[in-house]
Amino acid sequence: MLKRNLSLKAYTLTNSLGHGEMATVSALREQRGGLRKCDFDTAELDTWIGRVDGVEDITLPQSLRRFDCRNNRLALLALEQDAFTDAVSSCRRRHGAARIGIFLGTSTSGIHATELAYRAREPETGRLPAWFDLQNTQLIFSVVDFVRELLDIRGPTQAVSTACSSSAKVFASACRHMQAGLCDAALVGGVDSLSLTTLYGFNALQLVSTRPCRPWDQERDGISIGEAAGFALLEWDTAGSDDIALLGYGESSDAHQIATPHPKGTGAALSMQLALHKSALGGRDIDYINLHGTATSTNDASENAALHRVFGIPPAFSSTKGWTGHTLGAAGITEAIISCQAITHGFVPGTMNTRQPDKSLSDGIVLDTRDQEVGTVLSNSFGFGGSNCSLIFGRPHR
Amino acid sequence: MNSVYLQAVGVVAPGLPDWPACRDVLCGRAVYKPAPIARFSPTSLPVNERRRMTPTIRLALQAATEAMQSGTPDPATVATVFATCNGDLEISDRICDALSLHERPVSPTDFHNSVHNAPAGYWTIGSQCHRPSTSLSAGVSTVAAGLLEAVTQAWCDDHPVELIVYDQPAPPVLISRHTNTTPFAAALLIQRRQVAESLAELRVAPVRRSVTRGLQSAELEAIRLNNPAAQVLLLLELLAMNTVADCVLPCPDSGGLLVEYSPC
Repeated sequence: MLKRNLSLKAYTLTNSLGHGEMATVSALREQRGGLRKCDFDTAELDTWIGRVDGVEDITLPQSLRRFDCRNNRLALLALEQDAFTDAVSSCRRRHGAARIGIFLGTSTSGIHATELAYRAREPETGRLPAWFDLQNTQLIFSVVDFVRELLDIRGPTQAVSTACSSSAKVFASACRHMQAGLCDAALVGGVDSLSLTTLYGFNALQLVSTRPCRPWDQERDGISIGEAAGFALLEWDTAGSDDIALLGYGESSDAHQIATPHPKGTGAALSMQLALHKSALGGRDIDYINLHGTATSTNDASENAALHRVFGIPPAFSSTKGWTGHTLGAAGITEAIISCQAITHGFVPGTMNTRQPDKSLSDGIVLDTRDQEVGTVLSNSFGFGGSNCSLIFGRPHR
Repeated sequence: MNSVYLQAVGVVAPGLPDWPACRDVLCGRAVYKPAPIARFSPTSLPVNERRRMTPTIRLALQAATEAMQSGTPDPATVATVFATCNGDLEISDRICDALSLHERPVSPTDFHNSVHNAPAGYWTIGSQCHRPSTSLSAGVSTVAAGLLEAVTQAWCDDHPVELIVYDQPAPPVLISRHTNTTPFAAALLIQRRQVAESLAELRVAPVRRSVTRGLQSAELEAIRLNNPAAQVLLLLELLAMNTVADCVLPCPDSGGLLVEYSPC
């Protein structure tokens, strides 16, 4: 069991539903989705994407221009919402820069910069253009290095890159570092931006839908790729505070295949069970489950098997991938924040685009957003390589 | 400052086929002779997975396998932390090259291997391990970040943890002053409690100073300065000497991670 609860003192979220966390809340309540026909860069694919408006227009501060790429522009755009940087400054004043850790997830970092550089190679020599900076754009640590410089955070640092569970696992790592006394607060989050690598890569694996994705639907046929950035500031819960807290986390490995989950959901079930154990909660204490729910045939079937094994008849559950697209390395933080919004504002998000739930899957998926008091949420994030993470959020135990 | 116990290690680099060879060079008993790394093929993996492995994945898994070769604890019960600065640049090179062509023929196998946690995926399949596994990166502080992640997992979640650090050279088009030219990987098996097989007690703490001295072997010092993963040689030198001593692993902003070493 977690010895103390870890409060989310502030959070911010930017995705295809809009800039700032309230854009997501309004869209979820107004039944307004964020997917559009693919119009990213020079991609010629018959698919739908969750693109964030305005990323192209963001300019990095002069002293940090070396980090310039779509992923870091998206990070900056998100950090500027919801007075989030003010919350970080106040935290830095209280604890000192060296006592704040930073743990961010990403799956593809700034790979789009490399894609552009390869298109601009010198025809004679094949040399990459002089502006290309591998270290500060493509490498996985780039976004963490950029944010720690931007916000002057000097504590323990790492970029987690475990595909689609990346920005869920950052909560677990931050929690352990804080428990070990290595920092007093932590900035966690995730940033993943659109790239031709993921669009054409998932297409090559025949995992991309030609329609807006339909999680849990009998006609589901693949994902819609999205981009997002989200951040949360974690501090130990203080007596009397009403902040939402991380109550538990669970992590596991499928040990099955790289690109396909275990058909019986063994790893997924284990991560949910470990999260329940860590939070000292039972299945009946969970009010809502935010599924990984990517809308591929095998992913949803595997998650369903796991859900059945852990919960029998599950509580209210839904997938929000139809609203935002699958934001890959940012999916964990996106859905962690949506979980907190469900608790704060009292609603269960629906499952956009899904009309005919698959009869072979658990009954009762929430299709339309509805008002409902939500005390405790479990959020699932499962990734390529069989990397699973489940998080539980709620009001702290009193 | 809490401690953990080091139980086994693995190393692979040109001329260093395993830990005993590396140890002998580190403590001056043998002269370093560079030699190509022999092709590693883990028999624990299904044929399909074995065929799909890249040189980067082979490198990481070779070190991981050596540290787990005693079979105690059972590899299926050991959590893993994979840490690399550069990831698999050969894969991103092939994908970005394909994307620059008219038809954009991205290979499904390349994309499947492009995730940063591909080595972790192959490792957990081969060892049938359902325990947590993470894959991280932290620039110059990749080894320090990996060690802190492994140590905090051992403390907080109380399972044995294997840390695997690795960096493979960049393909020619991506070589710059920031990329390494020598491959290197190492693995450290650690436990929260002392066991019969424990080699040493390690205590770690962040400090406000950077690396103060290099390795005694000039050849291995050159590898350490070339490859971000090879910073772990500072710690492995303590194991080779096996006396009470300490080292500082690099962190950003001229900070470091102090590792205090005591033999068991």
